[in-house]
Formats: sequence, structure tokens, C-alpha cells
Amino acid sequence: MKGGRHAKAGSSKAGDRRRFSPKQLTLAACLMAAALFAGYALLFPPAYGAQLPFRSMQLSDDDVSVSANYYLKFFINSISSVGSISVQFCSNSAFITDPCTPPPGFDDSAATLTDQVGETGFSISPATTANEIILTRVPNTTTVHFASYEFSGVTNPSAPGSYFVRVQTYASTDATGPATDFGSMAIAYTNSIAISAEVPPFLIFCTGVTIPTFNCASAVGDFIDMGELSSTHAVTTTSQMLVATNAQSGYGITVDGPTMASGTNVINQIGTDDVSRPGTGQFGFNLRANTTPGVGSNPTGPGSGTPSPAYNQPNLYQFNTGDLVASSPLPENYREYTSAYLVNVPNTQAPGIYVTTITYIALATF
Amino acid sequence: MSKPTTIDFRAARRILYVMLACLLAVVTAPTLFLPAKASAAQLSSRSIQLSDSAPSGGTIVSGVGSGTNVAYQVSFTSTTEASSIVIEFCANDPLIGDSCDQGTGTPNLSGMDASAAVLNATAFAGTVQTTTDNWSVSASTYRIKLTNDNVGGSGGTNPAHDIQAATAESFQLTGITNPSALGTFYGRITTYTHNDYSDGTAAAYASAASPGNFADYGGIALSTVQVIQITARVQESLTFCVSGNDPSTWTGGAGVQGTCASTVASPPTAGATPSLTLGHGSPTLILDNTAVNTGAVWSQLSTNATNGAVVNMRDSNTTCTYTGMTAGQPGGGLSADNGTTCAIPPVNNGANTGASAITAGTAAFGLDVCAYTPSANLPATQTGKVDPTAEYNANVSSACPGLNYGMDTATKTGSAPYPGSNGNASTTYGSTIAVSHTSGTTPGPVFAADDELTFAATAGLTTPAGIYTANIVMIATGTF
Repeated sequence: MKGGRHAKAGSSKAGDRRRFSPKQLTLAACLMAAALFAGYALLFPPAYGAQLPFRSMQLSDDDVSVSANYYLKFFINSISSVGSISVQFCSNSAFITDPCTPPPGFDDSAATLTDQVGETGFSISPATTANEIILTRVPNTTTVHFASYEFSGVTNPSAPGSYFVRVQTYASTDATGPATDFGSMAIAYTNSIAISAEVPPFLIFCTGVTIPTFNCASAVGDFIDMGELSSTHAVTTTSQMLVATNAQSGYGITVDGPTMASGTNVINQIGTDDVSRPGTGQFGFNLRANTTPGVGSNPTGPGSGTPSPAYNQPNLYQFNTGDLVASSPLPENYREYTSAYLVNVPNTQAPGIYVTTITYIALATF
Repeated sequence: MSKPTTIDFRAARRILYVMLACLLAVVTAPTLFLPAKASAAQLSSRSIQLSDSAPSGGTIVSGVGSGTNVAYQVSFTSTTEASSIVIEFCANDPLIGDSCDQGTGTPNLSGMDASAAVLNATAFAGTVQTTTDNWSVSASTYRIKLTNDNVGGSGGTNPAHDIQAATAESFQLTGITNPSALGTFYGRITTYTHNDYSDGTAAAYASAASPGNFADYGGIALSTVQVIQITARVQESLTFCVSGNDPSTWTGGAGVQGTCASTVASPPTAGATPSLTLGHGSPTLILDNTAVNTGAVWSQLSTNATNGAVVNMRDSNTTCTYTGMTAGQPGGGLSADNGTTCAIPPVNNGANTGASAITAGTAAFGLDVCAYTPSANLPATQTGKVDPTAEYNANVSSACPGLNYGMDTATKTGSAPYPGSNGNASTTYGSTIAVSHTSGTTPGPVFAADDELTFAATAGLTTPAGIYTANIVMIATGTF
């Protein structure tokens, strides 16, 4: 009687003898090694120095695609030899151990180091790339204090959003080897605010018998009854006009209209400055406070416009249609002028109702 | 074709069974291996509890997980009165009198050091304590010896200080360093009727293999295990956006509603582009002396910056001059000639004396900032505020916006380029308009904190006609 059972090669029931090809054994060994390595990596992560506290990255402009200044600041809280500093910009992660994806459109390759405080003596290394600035110097021992660095000419990313900055210090001069200290920051780019406002050209001008306030809405009256004219004394009256404008070259006010007339009978206009002469035919005005006779007011208001010379002399009157009576070469805040009218008639003046219509025209030059 | 490797599982199983049998025999028959001690009894309810089971010599060099400065709490119930104790640590087995592998060989207790062991002043139970019962410790690398001041055994000088018979004892030894290897190691405890580690005869404790005439005994298994290190990464974050749409309307997108991730917050959504035209009237808005015209945009800041964040504002018209300007303080207004002049100057001529009113007809441009609470879509996890600085704070208790404005072109603290909060709207890094506060007034992290930014302007009677513009940049800077 034969004892035992013999396993058939390849049978589903091979008993307790199993055959493994070298490939299977190799794969198993590799998997075990990988598992051990992963476990080791988890248990013993790479060692880094201390974090750099109070770290910030301030931008002069966070609009996309513009050139801006970057101000990096951090606190060094350990004493060590530092020969280089890496400032790396990433779009994906702040973690030093993660791969770094450069922000789209970002470029610091033309950056200039414009200021350094604290740990100094650095220059920008030729090893600087489009998204990593490397500062290099002859290695020197740090002290515990703040350090700051300003870079100009950095081109912002082309898309708004949040990005990351990783800073590491090194004993080497080219940012290679183990990092001494490290720190990351998050920064944001957003849209700027465009503000606009349109100031239209304007000219405020009004006339009235009276304008009590610096507001054309307060102007009242457009008809003056001077009463009965006399050959023994002057008859006077006033009207007012208010002007304001933002015209950069100022304004001019002209007067337009005929002298006083009744049909074909006229009262002579004062063609050239003259005093009041009762008993002679005179029609004229000025823009001043007068004493002979007592009529009128000087210009008032915060503006600076002035009457033209012919209409700017107390007790001298004139009237010529088309005359420039007041002006300012500059923009004018409210300016109020009072026209003081004078009428004298001889005793031979033909009887009648004498009238005139005076028009003042303001012309602003923008 | 290579020859496959054969593994004989049946043979392996046979070997394994033999090993288990041997082990079982060893575990279940300890008395066969004990030295002859007719009156010795086992300590019952015995244990040694470790405050830290990590092996020493690892990457963790202090605190929990370092395996150093470990407290061993020894507990047992005695059978016999005793005046001294020996605790011997061995790597191979807990069997009293057996050889004891310690510093060398395989296995060993490499890394262990009990020589600095300190006995507690007061025991958790019983009398093994330095106070009252005057126990003291002398220790070496792998051995701790404890004794009291009772000379002469149960009838000695201080029998009350002894471990009493049938008594629970629990005391703590601190300052012990665990072995550096993972795995099981053992403690062998022997007690003695006399305080010289003997029974009053010459057969005192000499070594682990020669424990002398002990009263009670017991072996304990201990184990060092791998420390579980739990790490989680939280990276720095800062999200800042400016929108022409009210945060109450910020919906859409996959992110949290009411945040910058909402599609309504950002261009190209209609209205999202932060662009303002100040004026009144129709169809063309005009700015004149009859009114102060305003326009608002909104900002939102989220950051985990430990030391909070500031929001700075910079006017693109940094060098424009204007009537009434303080020497050395240009800029900050609206310009119709590409920044040469600002005929609509900064409010209060750019003074940094606090927000002030803008009066219709007195040309001025300014900004009011207020912490804004949206009427809808407020994220449930919204935290903190971004509060305006004094210069831009209308100081209105509830209304938003207020009626006072600022546009600082005066502040210059320290030296150029005046970073941080040291500058103004015309300097390189701008004027600080707001600071994040988690609560109160302490700068700190915030989430989805909104501000309403209201710009105001009016023209004077002499303000030249033209299209006045300024590009305002808002920059958030976190200090991590």
C-alpha cells in the first residue's frame, strides 16, 4: 500500500506545497520594502529648523499682471549661519515639502532688491527663477531680530486669487542643502476699484431787480419803474446779477441794449465816463457804490471778478451797448454785481414814457 | 525558465506547533524553575504601570513619546511582612532566580536606565513611601532596591513601616528611562523580611540569579510600543476680494455661499467688477456743487494669520497737487489730468486727524469703511470683523455707511517706503484702512469678514470741468 499523497503541479489542491515564481517573490519583496520605507518616512519625517514668526509679505499693488513692490518681513528667533534666503511663490500649497506650482503669469526674474534691514549684505542670486528669488551673501551668523527685504519690479500673477510664499534660510550661499529656518505666507490678488466722476462745465448767471442770497433761485423782479424824471436832480435805480462758473479761463459780462427812448425822443447815453449832471440828458450806470448820487453797491461774494474800468469808478457813469462791464480770468465762485443806473434830463426833454430793455450776457471760456 | 522557489508550509506548521508547545510549557510551569524557597509566596494583583511606553533614544527627546523620565507605578498585594524590595529588570524572562539578560546579549535592555529612580513621597497605597515610613531607594541601571528603617524584621525597630502582610501596596518610581528596543521586557520583584534584602540570614539578594531568601516574589511583563505620531497640516491661508455686488447676494459656485468663492462676488458676473461712477442726475451722472455723491463696493477677508491682517488702500493719484495742499503731502484725490493735479482733493486736505464730513460744494474725495453684516447668505462659520481704523471710521454705531470720510495723505511713520501701517494713500504700500479682529480689538484670524467701502465726492463751484478718475487698490496683508 502506497502511503502519502503527491501533489500534482498546477492542481487546485496542491496540499501544503505552493510554488512561487522568482517574479512573484521579487514583487512581494519590493512591496514589503516599500511599505517599510513608507512607514519609516511617516515615523521619521524630514527635519526642518524653526518657523520664522511674525512673517508677512506686503504688496504695493495687488492688481493682476501689474508690476509691484514686495515687502518681506520676518523675525529671526535663532542664531545660526545664514548664507542664502529663498523666497518662492507657489499657487498650490504653502507647505515646504509639497511641489511648487508657479503662479500663472507671475515673474520675479527681473526683481531688484531695493532695501534690506536686519540681516543684510544680500544680493539677488543668478540662480533666481521666475517664481523664486534667491538672496545670497557670504555666510554670516544671524542675531535674534526682525529682518526685512523689499523687492521692486515683480510682475503679479495674471489671475486673481490666493497664492503662497515660502521662505527658507540656508547656511549655504545658493539655497541648497538643509534649510535652517522656514515660514510660509498666503497672499491675495484682487481687482482694483476704478472710480470716476464727471464734472460738467457750468455757468451760473442770473439777473434780477434784487438777488438777496448767492442763489439764483432768490432773484426777484425784472421791471423797474424809475418814476418821474427831473431836470433838477438825477433819478437812480439798481438791478443785480449773480455769476459763478468753473470755466478755467473765466468769464466776461457784457451789456446790450439802447439808451432810454420814447419814440424818437431819446435820453442821451453817457458814452464816456462822466459825473451826474442834473439838467442834462444822461443815461448810464456803473457797478460801484456811489455817493453822488447815493446809489449802488460794490461787488460782493467769495468770487474775485471785477467790473471793467469804465464801470468801476464810483460816481462816474457810462453806457455803451456791447461794453464789457465785468469779468474774471479765473473760475468764479459766486460774485454779485449791483448795477447803479443814473438818469438826468434837461428841462427841454420832450414829454413821454421813456423805456429801455437792458440785456446782460455772460460768456464763460472753458 | 527559472526554477520556482518552493515553500513547505506543512513543515513550517510543524515547527510552529513545537515552538508553541515549548512556550506553553514555560509559561505554565514557572514553579519548576524557581529556586527552592519553601515559605515564599507570589505577590498577587501585581503590575507595573508605565506613564510612557515609548522606547527611548528615538526622535522624540522629551515629554510623552520620548521614553525618558518615565514613571513606573508598582502595585501588588503582599503575603508576608517585608522591610525591603528588589525590582530587577530583565530582557529574557520574569522568572525569579533565572539568568537575567540586561545590557548585552540578545535580547537586552540597551538604553534602559533606572539609576535615577526617585521614590514617591506618599504612596498610593501601603507604606512604600519616603515620608512617614522612611523608605528609600538605591538604584542602578537595571535594578531598583527599596528599603525602610525597620531593623530586625517584624520585631524590629520600626515594624509599622514595613509592608504588612496581605496588604495592597502601590507606589511610584519616577525618572526611569525605558529600554530603546521595542517589545517585551520583564520586572522581577522580590520582597524581604529584613531591610538588608535578606531574611535575617546571610542569604541576602546578590544578583538576579541569586536573589537570596526572599519573602514574596512575582514576575511582571512590560512592553515598549511604537509611539503613534499624529500630524495634521494646516497651511497659511488668506482670501481677499473686492466686489461691486453686495455680499448679501453672493451665491453660486461650489464654495461656501456668501464668500469670495461665490460666483456673484467676482467678475465677470454682472456688477461684480468694483467700478464706481460718482454723481447724480440722468442720463449722465454729474458731480457738482449741489450734492455729495457716494458709491459703495464691498470687500471680504478670510485668514488664519495668527497675528491678523491689515487692509491697506492706495490711490493711483499719488503725486497730484491741489490748492490748499500741505507741502510734502500730495495725492489722494480725483484727477482730470492724469494725476498732475487733483482738483477734487482728499477730504480735509489729507489730514490724519480722523474721519470728517464732506460738504456739498467744497470739493473733496474720501472713503468711509464700516464692518458690514450682510442681510442674507451670511456663512454660518463667519468669524471676527475687519474694523476700520480711526481715519476711515465714521463712528456711527449702527448705520453703515456713515457720513464721515477720510483719505490720509499725511501719515509717514519711520522711514520710506513706509510699509505696514506706516504710510498713507500716496506712499508705496498705502494707508491702513482696516484691521482684522477675531474678537474685541486684538488682531487675529477672521473668516468671511465683510466691509462696506463707501467713496464720496463733491465738486466745488470752481472745480474745472472734466472726467475725474482714480484707481484705488485694496491690499490685504497677513502676519503669520
